[in-house]
Amino acid sequence: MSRQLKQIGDDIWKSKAEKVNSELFTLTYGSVVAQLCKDFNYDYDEVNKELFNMGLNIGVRLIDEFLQKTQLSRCANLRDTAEVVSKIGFKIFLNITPTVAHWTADYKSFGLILAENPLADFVELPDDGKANKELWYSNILCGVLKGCFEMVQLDCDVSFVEDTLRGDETTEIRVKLIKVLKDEIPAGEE
Amino acid sequence: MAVYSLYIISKSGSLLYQKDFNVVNSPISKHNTNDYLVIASTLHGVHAIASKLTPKEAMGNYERSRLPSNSNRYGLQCIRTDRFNICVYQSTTGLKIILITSKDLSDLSVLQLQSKLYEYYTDFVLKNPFYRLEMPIRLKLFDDKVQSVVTSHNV
Repeated sequence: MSRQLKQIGDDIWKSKAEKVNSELFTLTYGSVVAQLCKDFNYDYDEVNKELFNMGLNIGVRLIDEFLQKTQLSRCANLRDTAEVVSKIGFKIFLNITPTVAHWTADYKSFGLILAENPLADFVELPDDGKANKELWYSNILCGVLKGCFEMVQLDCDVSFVEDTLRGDETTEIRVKLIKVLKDEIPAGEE
Repeated sequence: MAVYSLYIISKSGSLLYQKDFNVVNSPISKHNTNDYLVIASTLHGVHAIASKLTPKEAMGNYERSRLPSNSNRYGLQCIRTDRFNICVYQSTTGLKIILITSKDLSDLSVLQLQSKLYEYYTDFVLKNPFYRLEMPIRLKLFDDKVQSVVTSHNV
């Protein structure tokens, strides 16, 4: 299963995904975050929220493209979802494959460990004593995931728990399934 | 072979997009906007009712429902009349793409066309930053794309 997904992700990345110069992408995102920091007067909580909301708006649209390109149907369980997100989702949109790790015993929550983060090349957080503790620089990713999950009726909490930019060992996004919104699954599905 | 009409219906059942195509001898007569809304919500409702009526064993009977991208397994798949077919495709997010076609258009080409239309929706509607979800689609670029891909089927 896992190898098959990797193959799908690789194929789509090669044949269907539009590519863009990665520096243009990194610099664009960087200037957005820097501008938000300025606009919110370095209130990093607000910046995190704003990035999350921007991501959410992207996610609720992106999921359709994802489904269309991958031709996948609904996952049977969260373990499949995690594999699909890492091996196909991240692969076709960012060309990275985060490691799925740190499952809780009830398989309701997992971590995505990003060995590399294209958003954060060249970035050092401002040395103002609080950015290191408060700002989740790549928080837009959490929003995107949240938005995508929402559209396929998975109510999830998505948040960063570690970021190498802050001096942590790894960069980890935590996904916690709250509930599958069964009532909202479109009619006609299994 | 011809495609007479296209309906795109949102997850919640509102009509996002409707287009009748210019085909000689089309059995579909012109309606007013209100009629289109009625047709769309009827199809949406009938689809939901059908999904409750379909026995589980019958699910695999219909070839199209086996294709993984079409999440429409139990719902209304197709209405075949003497003069046209109505074919329903549904994405996992609940978007319905409904085509009214001539009898001689094969299931496979209808599905390919629906899949292509879904692609155009993701590209030219969802990626437009000013389009708001669940709102009627009034976008020239999307319109042109739809027109050209459908016209290529109308021979």
